[in-house]
Amino acid sequence: MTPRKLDVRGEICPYPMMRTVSALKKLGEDERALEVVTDHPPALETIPTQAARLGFQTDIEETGASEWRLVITRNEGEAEA
Amino acid sequence: MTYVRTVRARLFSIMLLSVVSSACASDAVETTEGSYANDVLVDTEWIEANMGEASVRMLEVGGNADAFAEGHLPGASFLSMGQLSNPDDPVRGQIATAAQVSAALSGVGVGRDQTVVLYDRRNNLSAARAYWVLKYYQHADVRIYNGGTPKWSEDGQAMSTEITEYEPSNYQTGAADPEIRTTWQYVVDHTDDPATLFCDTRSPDEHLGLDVRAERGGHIPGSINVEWTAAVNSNGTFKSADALAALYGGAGFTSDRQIITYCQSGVRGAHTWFVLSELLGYPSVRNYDGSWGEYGNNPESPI
Repeated sequence: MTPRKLDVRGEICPYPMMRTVSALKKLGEDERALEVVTDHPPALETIPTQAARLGFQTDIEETGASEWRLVITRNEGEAEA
Repeated sequence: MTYVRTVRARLFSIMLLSVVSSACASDAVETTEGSYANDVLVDTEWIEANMGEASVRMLEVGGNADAFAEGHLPGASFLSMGQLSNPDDPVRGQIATAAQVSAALSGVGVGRDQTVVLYDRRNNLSAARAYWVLKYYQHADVRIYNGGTPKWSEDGQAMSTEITEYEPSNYQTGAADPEIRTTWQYVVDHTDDPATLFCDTRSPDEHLGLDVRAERGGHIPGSINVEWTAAVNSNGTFKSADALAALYGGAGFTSDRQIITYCQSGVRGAHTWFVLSELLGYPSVRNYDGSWGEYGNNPESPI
């Protein structure tokens, strides 16, 4: 299944993390990943930290000048967030 | 220059009021009959009256270029928050260098002598951070359109999709003002200073270490927690001067102390810096730019 996408470019702390957490909590049982795009560097720390608390791991890829894609994947065996 | 003199005169009157107040009861800052300490907020009527003036430039900050293209205040230019932060700083999200800010403002054709009006799309948060950046580099006349695009729409004004082109300028910032920004070392050196108060602008859970967004959770010792949203009305505008004075005075912030604001990355802290320094006229307020993203990740930080 293609991961649901969340574009938070232009949003600054704390909104990128808050919107990501909200989206993770809304993932369906059959959805294992969320893809987030951000241009706010502090979100590269706050989003993985919060995602980990919900049972997800985060892979970060720099996709351009000051822009990143975070692929947030549910840990194996984790229940729905 | 008239504006600078006005601000100084008002600040002096606020300080005088504070002195009077301290002699009577406490050192809480008082405002004059409900007015803010400085003329740094503009409303819809002001925008309408000054739109198109060569001495005034409006900048939409925060949000993104796509949203700006779909609708913005007529004549405004877009500036991303990324242009006001330094991608090369090891602490993420730190203020841009003078050269980076100069380049960003040159790109949208702003001049040092122009009145810059900042606005955003949510709670004046990005606008307040951008205001703090511009004041750090000593742009003389900066204002915030109180409430941004939601207020513009609430007041029945139409958004524009027309992109106004401005000739690039050769903007050169002033020197950085160390009095409004501070560092980890300065913070640590003042944690036991009775003349310094720390304002933690994060959520209560972050303050208590229940919501941890760094290696360690918690707060700078002695911090008073007033979440930044407490200063915001439901429509995203700033609360009244009286309400803000009661909020921060009631929390224990007094004009005889230095106040250091902080949050996770210096954004919410900048919002509260704006409230305390610019709206309420507290005489000594610094925003800790590194905030918890730096402090909580440093094992030498006292927590």
